[in-house]
Amino acid sequence: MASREALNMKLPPIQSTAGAVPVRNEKGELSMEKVKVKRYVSGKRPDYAPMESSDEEDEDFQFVKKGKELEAEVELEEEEVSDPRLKRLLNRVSEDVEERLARHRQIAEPEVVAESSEDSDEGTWHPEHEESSEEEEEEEEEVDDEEIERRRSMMRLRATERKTEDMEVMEVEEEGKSGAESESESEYEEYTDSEDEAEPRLKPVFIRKKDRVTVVEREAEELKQRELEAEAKKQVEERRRYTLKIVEEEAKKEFEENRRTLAALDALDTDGENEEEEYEGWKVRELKRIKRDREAREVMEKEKAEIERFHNLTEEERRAELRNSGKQVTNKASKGKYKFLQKYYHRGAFFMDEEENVYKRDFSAPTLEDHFNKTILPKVMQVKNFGRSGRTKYTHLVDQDTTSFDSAWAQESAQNSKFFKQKAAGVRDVFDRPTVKKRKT
Amino acid sequence: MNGDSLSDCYIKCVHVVSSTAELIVDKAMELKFVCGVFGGNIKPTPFLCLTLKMLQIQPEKDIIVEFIKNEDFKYVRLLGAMYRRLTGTAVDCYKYLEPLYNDYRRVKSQNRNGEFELMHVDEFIDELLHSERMCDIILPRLQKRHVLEEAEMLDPRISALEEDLDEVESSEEEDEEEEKVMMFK
Repeated sequence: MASREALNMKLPPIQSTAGAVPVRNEKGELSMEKVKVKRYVSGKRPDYAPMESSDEEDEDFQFVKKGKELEAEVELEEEEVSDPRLKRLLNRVSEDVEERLARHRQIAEPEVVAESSEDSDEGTWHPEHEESSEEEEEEEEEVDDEEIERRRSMMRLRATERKTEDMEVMEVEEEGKSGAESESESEYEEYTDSEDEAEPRLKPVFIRKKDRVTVVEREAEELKQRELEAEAKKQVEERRRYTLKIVEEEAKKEFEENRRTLAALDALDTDGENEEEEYEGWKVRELKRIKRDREAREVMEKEKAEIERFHNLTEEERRAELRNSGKQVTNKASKGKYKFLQKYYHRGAFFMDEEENVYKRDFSAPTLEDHFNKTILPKVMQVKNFGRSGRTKYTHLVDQDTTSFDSAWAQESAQNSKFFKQKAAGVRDVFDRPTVKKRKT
Repeated sequence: MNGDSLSDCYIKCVHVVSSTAELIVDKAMELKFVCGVFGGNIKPTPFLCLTLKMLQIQPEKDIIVEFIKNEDFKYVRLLGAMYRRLTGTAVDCYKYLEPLYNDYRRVKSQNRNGEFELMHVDEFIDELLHSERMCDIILPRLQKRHVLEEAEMLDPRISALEEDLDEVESSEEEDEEEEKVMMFK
C-alpha cells in the first residue's frame, strides 16, 4: 500500500491516458495498462487482505508476521503513519498484553478460591482447623482415610500450581509481548483447575453437643410425643366416662319406658266382673258373624244358580241375553261437544272399575288456548301446533279422504272386477278353510 | 321382618332362649298381651317372638291342641291358635279354631303405636280365620269354608247362638207380619 502510494506520488499525473498506467513487464518493456480501481468498503474484505476469515487469527497473523519487521519500521515511520488501521494496530500492540492479562486474571480467580488457598498454606496449620478436621473425623467415620488423604494431596498440588502460575504471570508482565503465547497456555490450565472445584468449600465449624440443633429437636419431639400420649389417654378416659353416662341414661330411660308400659297394661282391666255385659257383647258379635256368613252363602248360592241357568239356555237364547245385557261401562261420562280443533285429552284408564262421581264429570270444556275460536283463522293456520316443529298437515281425519283414486286397486276395469270376484281375499261371503281345499287337490 | 332380626330382638326382650316346649309354655304363661310389632323401630313383642320360637322348635300337634284347649291361660290359647293357623291345614284350622268363637274373655293387645287396647278372644279368632294379616304377619291362604263343606271335609258350622238367632228372626218376621196387618187395616 505504502509503496503504491509512493509510486503514485513519484509519477507525474497523466491526464490523457485516462486511467491507463505504464507498467514494466518481465522483459523490461514499458506498456500501458488499465488501472482497475477497487473501492474500499468498510466491513468487506479488501483484495489485499489474506483469505483467512477469523478475526483472532487475523490479528495473530498480523502480529506474528509483522512483529519483527515493524519493530524497526515503527520506530522509523511513527510520525509518518497516516492509515488509521495501522495506527490502531500499533496502539494495540503496545497496550494489548497488559489489558488482556488483567482481564484474564479477573475471570480466572474467583474469591472463594482465595479462601481455600489460604487453607492450604504449607506448614501453618491453625488450631481451629485441626479441631474441625478432628470433628469431621469424629462425626463421619464412614469417610475412609484414603479419601481424606487424597483430598489433602490434591489441595496441596493445587496450591503449588497456583504459585507457579503466579510466578509465570509476573514473568509475562515483565517480558511483555513475547510472553503472550505462554500466557495463553497458563490460561487454559487455570480454566481446567477451576472446573474441578466448582462447589465452594465451606469451613467446618465445631458446635457443642448442647448447642446442636438436631439433638434439641429430637428432645423437643420426644417431649411432644409424650404430651400427645398423655392427652390421648385423657381423651380416652373422658370418652369412657361419657359413654358410661350415655349407657346409664339409656338404661334409665328404658326402665322408665317399661314402667310406663306396665302401668298402661295394668290400667286395662281384662277380668271384668259383670259377666252379663260381656256375654251380651259377645252375643252381638256372634250374631254379626252369623249374619255375615249367611249373607255370603246366599250371594254364592245366587251366583251358582245364575250360572246354572245360563248353562241350561239354548245357543240363541244365550246370545240374545248377552246382547240385551250389553256391555257394562262403569263411570260413563257424557261425551260433550268439542269445539273446532279443540285438543282432546283422554280421561285415563286407571281406577275406572269402581263407580266414582269424580270420573263422571264432563271434562270436554275448552281450556287455555282452546277458548280461542279457531274457525276465524286463515286456512293455513287451521292445523294442530301451528308454527311448531310438531305441526301437522291435517286438522282431523274426517276432513281427509285417504283413498288413492289413481291406484291400481281403485280402477274400475274388467280385470279388477274379475279379480275381486274370483281371487281377492276377504271380499267374498264364502269362507272355506284353506286346509280343506288343499286336501281336495 | 325376617327371622334373624326377630330372634335377636327376642333374645333381647325375653333374655332366655328356651329350647324345649316346656320352657316355651312357661314363657307363654307369662304373656300379658298380644301384638305383632310396635314402635318407631318396629320392635317385636314377646308374643311374636314366642311364635317364632315355636316355629323353630316345631312342637308336636298334641302340644298345640293342649295349648288351644286349656282354659286358664288365654294368651297361651291365642299363641296355640296362631301357631295352628300358621302351620295347620285348612281343615285343622277350622276344626280347632272355631270352638274358640265361644270364648268371650277380654285380652289386651298392643297397637303399632305401643298403646294398649282391649280385645276379645273370639274377635282374635275371627280375624285369624278371615283376614290375610294378623300380628303383622301375612298368614298362609286359607281355603274358604264352603269349599271344604262342598268337599264334605267339614260339617256346616252350627253356632252356639244358632237357636237364639232363629228365635230372633222368627220374632222379626212376626213383627213384619204385624206391620203388614196394620198396613192393611
